[in-house]
Amino acid sequence: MLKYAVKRILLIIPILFLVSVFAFGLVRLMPGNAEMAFLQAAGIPPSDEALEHAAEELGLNRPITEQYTEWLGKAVHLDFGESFTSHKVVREEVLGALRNTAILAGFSTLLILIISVPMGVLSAVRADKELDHMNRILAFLGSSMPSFWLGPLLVQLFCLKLGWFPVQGFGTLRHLILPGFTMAVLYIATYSRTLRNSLLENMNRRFVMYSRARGISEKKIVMNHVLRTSLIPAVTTFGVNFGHMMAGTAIVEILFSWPGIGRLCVGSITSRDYPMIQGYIVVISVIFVLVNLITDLITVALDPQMRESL
Amino acid sequence: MKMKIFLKRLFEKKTTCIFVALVLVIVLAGLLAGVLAPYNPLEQVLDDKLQMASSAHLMGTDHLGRDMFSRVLYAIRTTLGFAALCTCLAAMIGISLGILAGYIGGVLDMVIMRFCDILYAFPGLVLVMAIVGFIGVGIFNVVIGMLLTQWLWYARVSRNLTVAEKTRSYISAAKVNGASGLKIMTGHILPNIIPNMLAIFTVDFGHTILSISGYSFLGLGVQPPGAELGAMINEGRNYINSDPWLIFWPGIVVLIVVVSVNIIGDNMRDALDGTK
Repeated sequence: MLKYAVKRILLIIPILFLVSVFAFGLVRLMPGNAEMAFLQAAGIPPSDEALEHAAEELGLNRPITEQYTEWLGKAVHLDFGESFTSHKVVREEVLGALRNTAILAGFSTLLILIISVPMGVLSAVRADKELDHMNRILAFLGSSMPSFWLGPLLVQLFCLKLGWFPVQGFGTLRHLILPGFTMAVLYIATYSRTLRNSLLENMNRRFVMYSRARGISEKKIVMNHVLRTSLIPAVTTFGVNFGHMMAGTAIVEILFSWPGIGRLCVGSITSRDYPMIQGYIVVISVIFVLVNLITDLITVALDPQMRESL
Repeated sequence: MKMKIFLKRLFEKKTTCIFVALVLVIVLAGLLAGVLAPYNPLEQVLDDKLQMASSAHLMGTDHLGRDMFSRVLYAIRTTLGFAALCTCLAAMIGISLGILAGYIGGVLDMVIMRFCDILYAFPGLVLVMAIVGFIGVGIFNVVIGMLLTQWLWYARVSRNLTVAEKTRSYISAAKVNGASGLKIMTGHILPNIIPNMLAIFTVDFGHTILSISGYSFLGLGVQPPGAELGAMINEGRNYINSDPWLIFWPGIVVLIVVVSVNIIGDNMRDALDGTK
């Protein structure tokens, strides 16, 4: 286990290195050059003198390795300078938006658990009965639903027609419910099916037969034994998806005007706010890599078979 | 031979036939948009804006007086076309690299698979955002960004299947008969892993439709006034209270196509389990 953990932790070094080279190199991929973009964003007419000053400011005259190490030194402290458009510090903006996204993703995860676990268990217990068929249809619809369509429809029904929730805004639980649910739909659909299938698989295993022979009630077998074994593979997918959720909430955030990181990034792309985009890329990549690492370690720690095979 | 059994088992199910037919109808509608559309999808007739469905405008008109039916037809072509392009390229890159890695093995295998592992650690969305953010918005940049990670799945699965296939006796027989490595890879291994790849391709096509229209919804892909299903939903969502059909039609088309494709993909997986 320890050997695996060390190996797994070491693997993130090349990944993080590539992330940094990628994020650093992007500025040099831009059409036109970085000085022009800088001046355009600052609204300064591009005279020769201004261009030179901009190159100086951006450190473009120095050798590339020197530029990289300096950039990296700053990036480690999440120092990406100021936003081109709002002139606020990128670090503060990105971290603030990240917190809001984490709230939304966390709430969404809670909804997923509350809904998909009972759904999965019920359809496994009544496999191939009506309830299971209904769940299957719901799962197909849920996993195929474009969130940018479902969101407006939910708003139309629950906010405008029924008036149950505020249309947009931020701060209270009532603001969280619709965006959280819109985000959760896809995952609820996939998890409830995955859980159902793995429950059914485990129901046929020997330990279930022994438990039955020992006279333990069917309910207890499912809840205490089968469910626990079936949840282990779910942890892996769950972790990976949480990483995706942290990165991939742009659509939901924009639909519900949630001040999160996805909305911040799309806004920055539209206004060509390069320092902000760079901040987003580095922060989200690091989070994604770390979430994956933690997930892998937890999966191995939870599963005795995997633990021994390593 | 494997393909024949696979197709037979696949089309034995009634649901496969129904949904394949449904997808074909929608694809045809998109392909024939130029013939079927009663109006130019970009033509604005401001006097006729936001009309309800009528015999003149089957799905009504949008906020600029453009005929919704014509726009939906053209949008099907755009969305499904780019999704197909993206998925086909990803499949071609992934399967070629996967078979090469699996068949040749050794250092090449290790390099390709390590490369996959590292790319796998990146969230695909961040790569697309990065490319679009620094090179510029537009559907081609979105496709390039998506391709960067989309091929991984094909490469991994085709590599593992190739490794398993390589040890079978018919491959040794082909070798003894003097078939070259290239011939074995394209003539023997590829046809045998195609059913598995087709199942992945189908599900991936559904995902890609959602992504392409999602990015266009965000304003990063197809730009207005171009007709694209996600972009149309974005344009129409401000009118949701008074004129909900502006987002209803493009959305329902996406949903129907993706549901159908997912059901076909699911049936493919069942059919594959049967051919083992």
